[in-house]
Amino acid sequence: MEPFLKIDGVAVPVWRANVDTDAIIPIAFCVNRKRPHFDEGLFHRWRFDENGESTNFTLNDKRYSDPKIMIGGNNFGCGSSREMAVWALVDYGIRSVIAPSFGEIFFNNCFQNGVLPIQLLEKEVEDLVREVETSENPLMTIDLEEQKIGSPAGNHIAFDVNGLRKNALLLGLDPIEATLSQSDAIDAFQKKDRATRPWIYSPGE
Amino acid sequence: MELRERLGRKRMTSPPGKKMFFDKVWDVHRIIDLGDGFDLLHVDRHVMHEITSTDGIEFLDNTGRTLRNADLNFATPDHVVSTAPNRKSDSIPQFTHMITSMRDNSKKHGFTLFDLGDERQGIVHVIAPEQGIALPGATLVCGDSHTCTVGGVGALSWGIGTSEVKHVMATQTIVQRRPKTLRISFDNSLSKNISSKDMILYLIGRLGAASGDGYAVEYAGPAVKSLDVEARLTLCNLSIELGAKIGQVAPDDTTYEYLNDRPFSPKGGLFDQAVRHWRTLPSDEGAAADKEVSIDASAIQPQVTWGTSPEHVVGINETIPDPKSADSDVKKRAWEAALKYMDLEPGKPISKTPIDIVFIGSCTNSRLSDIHAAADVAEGKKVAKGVRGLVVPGSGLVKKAAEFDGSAEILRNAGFEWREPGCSMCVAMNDDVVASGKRTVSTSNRNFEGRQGDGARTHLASPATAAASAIAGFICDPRQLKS
Repeated sequence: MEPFLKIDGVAVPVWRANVDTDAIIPIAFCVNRKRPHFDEGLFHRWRFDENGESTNFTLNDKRYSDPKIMIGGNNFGCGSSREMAVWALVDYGIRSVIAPSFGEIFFNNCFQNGVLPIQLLEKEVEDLVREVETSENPLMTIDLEEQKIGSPAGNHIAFDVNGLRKNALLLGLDPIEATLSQSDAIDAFQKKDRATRPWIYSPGE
Repeated sequence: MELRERLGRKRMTSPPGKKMFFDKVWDVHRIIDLGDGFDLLHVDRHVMHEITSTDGIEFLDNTGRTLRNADLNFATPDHVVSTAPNRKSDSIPQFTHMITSMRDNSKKHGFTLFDLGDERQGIVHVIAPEQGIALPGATLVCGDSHTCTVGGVGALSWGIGTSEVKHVMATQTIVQRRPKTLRISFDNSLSKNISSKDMILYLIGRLGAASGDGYAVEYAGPAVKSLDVEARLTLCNLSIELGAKIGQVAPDDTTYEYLNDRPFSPKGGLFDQAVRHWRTLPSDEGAAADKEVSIDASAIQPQVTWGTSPEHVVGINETIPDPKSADSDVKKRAWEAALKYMDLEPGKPISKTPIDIVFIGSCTNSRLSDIHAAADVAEGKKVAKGVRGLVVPGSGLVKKAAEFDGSAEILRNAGFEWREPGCSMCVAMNDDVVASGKRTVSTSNRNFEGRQGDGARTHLASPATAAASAIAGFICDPRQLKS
């Protein structure tokens, strides 16, 4: 996976509570499709009306073209576990999502795909949205190593990130390879566990 | 949830030696402490459907890997399958390859498949407990957010993304951050004709759709204890709509009785041994959750959603709320958007809102007791003119049982369509779609914009409320129809 270091780019607001993964990518765009083409479904129902015409949704606003950062409301990415929601964001160019809180499965799926979800206080996010909405150039920076966001007006906001996840993002680690290197520990666990919970290992017997 | 609370991981401490149900089960599964709050956990059961497993199998094939423990992997097609009578694998041509590749992969990789045409086929979260695949104190994951459902038998279960599916397939383990615990106690008794669907919608309305974020939820208290297993599965199903990816009810005699003699449950002496282990799992007297919430179950009325988040819910005799009364800017914007999408006016009663479709089904409410609840309301009555009513049983075995005991006939005689098992109109991938601008009362779990079809307007409710609404032609309190 591509290591995550710094981002410097346009931030687009989707300032609404409970933006669910069905909104981020409708189910019809989740199947019969390969990477990197999930961006076609990104917020499809909000970007286009029933006649296929562009709406006034923020992603269609020229000021926010080619965004690298998305700013959302609380519980962003709630709902379905579909990882295609993150793939759609990545294929569109988004590398970080900032929100007061996230749907937990989406939050986890972000890290699996080199996307940094940043949780800030609701007031901090609201201030960022105001800045982005009123700025001529809604440009922001995110520095993972320093754990700092630079706002369009040049303010700096610190953010927290779990140490293990930060390290995995910075190095672009593959978790499957890491776990496979622990095969002996898994073998040992199963051997011991089989003795105490035998019914787990032979379903129906 | 408060930011600092989530990131700070500050835990309340139980007295020495006292543990919560969740903590006992988690600790049994820990293989390695990875630091920073993460553990490598053993996965006892991996369940697959055709959407999220396809990439995982492709990954195994492309990297020359195999399932680490094929015996612990189970699959069924449910999302894309047709639910029309006499449906076949190729009833919906663009999805045929997903069903046939699952069939081929089952032969190649050795996992158990409940295929189309097999009476054991059905919605993953319906068949996992029905077959005894989901067990108390066992970890179970699936690439589907409603995997929390099977916490109803006391499993530690949650939905995972595609990357995690690959990880589980290759290693039979998962890297997880240990969540905090939230115990929700439903005190007192439920009123007559109130279901566990009403309980969980009421709870989400009270606490909010993000309130469970970062927590493993345990549902407890007398009103939960007295629920049968199917009702507990419904309760746990909407944990993800509360924001929690894990929801559980601690196992008890009701659970053991339910699981005894299921096809994949342990048998004979092994079952007795398992029960002895399961009896050690419930939270110790005096153990404390990180957060405790109490709900008066006797206050719960039939619930129905008015908006586009499951937290947009009111009692059936209440009015549609006004965005002016929202307590934050971001919520106000969401309420305004929801009312516009739903074409509803604030201040008006939710009941008597005319409807077009009623859907009784989904991993929330498609079990035999749900079919019975609908049939009880519909017996001797007719679905209102102009309303389409669909009943989609959750598995072939549910369908067979309902046909045997006559409840299917009651529903058919009332004018409901009686269909083949699958996710159907909850995920709206097959032909079971709500047309744009049409209004549905649905027993499913998500009222998101476009969830049941582009422009579809969804009102979530219990099977009894859904059936009553089908007969009335508008959103209707089932207690009115019964009396």
